[in-house]
Amino acid sequence: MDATRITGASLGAARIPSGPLDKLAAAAARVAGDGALVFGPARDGSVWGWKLCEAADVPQSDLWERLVNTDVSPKELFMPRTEDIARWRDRLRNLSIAEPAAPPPVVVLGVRPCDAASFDLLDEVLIEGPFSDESYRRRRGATLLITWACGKTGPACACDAFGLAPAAAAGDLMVYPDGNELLLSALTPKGLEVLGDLTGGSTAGEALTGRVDAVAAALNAQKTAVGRRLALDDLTANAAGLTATLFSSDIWTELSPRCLSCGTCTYVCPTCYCFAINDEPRGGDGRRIRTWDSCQFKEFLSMAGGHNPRPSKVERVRQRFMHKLNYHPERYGKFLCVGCGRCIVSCPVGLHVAEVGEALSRAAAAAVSAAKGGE
Amino acid sequence: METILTTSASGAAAAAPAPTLARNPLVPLVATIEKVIDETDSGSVRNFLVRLDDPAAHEAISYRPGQCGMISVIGVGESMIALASTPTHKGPLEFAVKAAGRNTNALHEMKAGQKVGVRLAYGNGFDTEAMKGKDLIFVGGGIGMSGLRSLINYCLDRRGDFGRLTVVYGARSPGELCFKEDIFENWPKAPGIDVNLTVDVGDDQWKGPVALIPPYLESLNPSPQGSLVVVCGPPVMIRFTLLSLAKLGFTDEQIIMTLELKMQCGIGKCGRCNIGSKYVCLDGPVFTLAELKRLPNEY
Ligand code: SF4
Ligand code: SF4
Ligand code: FES
Repeated sequence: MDATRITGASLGAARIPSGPLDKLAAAAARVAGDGALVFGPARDGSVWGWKLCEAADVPQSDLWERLVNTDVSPKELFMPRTEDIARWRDRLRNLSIAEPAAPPPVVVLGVRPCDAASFDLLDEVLIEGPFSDESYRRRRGATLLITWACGKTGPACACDAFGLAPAAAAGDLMVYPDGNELLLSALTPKGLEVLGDLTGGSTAGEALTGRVDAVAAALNAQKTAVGRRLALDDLTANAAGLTATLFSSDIWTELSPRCLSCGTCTYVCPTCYCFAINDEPRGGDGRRIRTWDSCQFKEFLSMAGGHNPRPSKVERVRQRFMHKLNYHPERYGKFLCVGCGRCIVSCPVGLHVAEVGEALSRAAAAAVSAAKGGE
Repeated sequence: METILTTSASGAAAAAPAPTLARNPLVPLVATIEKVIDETDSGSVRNFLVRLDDPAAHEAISYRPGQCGMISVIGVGESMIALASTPTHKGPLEFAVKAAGRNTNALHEMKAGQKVGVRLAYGNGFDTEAMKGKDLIFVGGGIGMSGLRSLINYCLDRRGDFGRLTVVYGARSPGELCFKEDIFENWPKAPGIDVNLTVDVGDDQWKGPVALIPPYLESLNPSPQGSLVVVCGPPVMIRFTLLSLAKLGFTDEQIIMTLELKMQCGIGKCGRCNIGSKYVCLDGPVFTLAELKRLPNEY
């Protein structure tokens, strides 16, 4: 397990009283840049998601004591459900193609550590490599992320099963609850600027960074209910060596029949990023859009000639969980899951990453002991 | 308020990526169709010769044989197609396209002078370094000749780098053989290349062999010694050709293939084309048979 994903390195710290956060939001908006928009958790009907906050309705800090996490992940702030890739004009006679304008700077106030870590995972896929997904990269680059460490864990939380912890350091600025106060710790130069703006640059002794470390360590020591029973390290340690065994395991035919192919798990998941590209013509003009897609849909992989490499739920369910728990670890060395627990809560038939992770680690252990027995 | 600020950002945390306006690789470039060649009598395959409208961008194009490009009828869709042209000729890009879906059907309706969107170049392409000094056998079926043609013309332009070149190409009927100028005129005249053509069903003018590719290949009895074989074609042909190659003594490492999978972004982001931990659009479409056998069987 990579400990730096949890501890981070503080560039500076500050202490503010709990309560209203409008000053913090305003400082962050100034640092983020002209026209910055501030997003915070907000309820829409019965669903907690992310909403633009005006100065007057910036949430107060007690929100994060009440709310374990939003139902909808904040990934849509960087990869909207639908967005323009390009707009074209005069398709038939004098075609021209233009990219959309650069996105405005954005402050995201109070993402949970698991969700903040999900962006690091998405960055590796979407920004790094031979090509960069530019619209994602632009939004990410224009964002200031304020991460709120978890004072308690929820029943479906599983961060510690996936190499993280309830106060894992990620984003630009960490907020740690500390009694009646909040400790702020900057992880990036941008986060440090926010502290400078908020405090006028006044400095204090080393006691504060010591306190940050102590509070972070105490919060990180919390074990989640799921994490207590899941031990998945074996799956990342030898991902490449396990692919063939796990791929051909019986668990897929056992688990997949109950899947409804509804795609809920992929839409609520902060680390699922599959998308589709489609054209929307309006006369000679139009736009090319990208929308969220789901590997759980049959059409996802049906080809022009009718061939489909994943024709049934067995292959599609296998794809989702193998991608998260085996293929991604093979390619990137870590799970494509931050244990946010959303699929655990949302899947209507209880077919989620904790259950499948457990089954996979059992299958892996069985394969290892069979190999030993055969020696 | 108590604060501590360490102003030197002396450490681990790197600056967040600046929101500069690099070109979005998903946005196609405007290109003009210069010429449309009907490759087959049935009209099933058309070769679109296209040039980017921005001359500097066209000049700057670089690709390897076996790499693909995305060609789009704007407003309809996009298709990933193996480039049939060779980077050693500074001409138009060539996309030999079979009408098989919405975008390719719409493309087949298009004429010279009309506009399309193009972006490239995707995939690993053929490892021409590993091919240096080797005898190369190219086995193509139908439109599978497309990517092979890029490689064959590349090899002919760099003739000294490679050993003997053997082409084995088949189609359902003589009229369905693509790239007729190359296979009947240019290649037979070139030095050190054997061109072997076969058809499933002949016609009045056809004087060549009438045989399926696998038995025909076996009858040619190519030696595995110091050679590599590149196979591109429809799935059934591939399946039986692999059996024949095994019989002839070729190892899995000597057999090079290209995969076709549904693709959308072409740049390793949309999550559509993975086989296990590999992305066909980045790590493929070219794999050796040995590499393919190490991947989950899901393509
Ligand atoms: S797989 Fe489930 S627990 Fe893991 S990140 Fe996605 S929604 Fe959260
Ligand atoms: S695993 Fe659950 S949430 Fe995901 S598609 Fe199947 S039924 Fe829906
Ligand atoms: S085509 Fe999108 S990832 Fe390969």
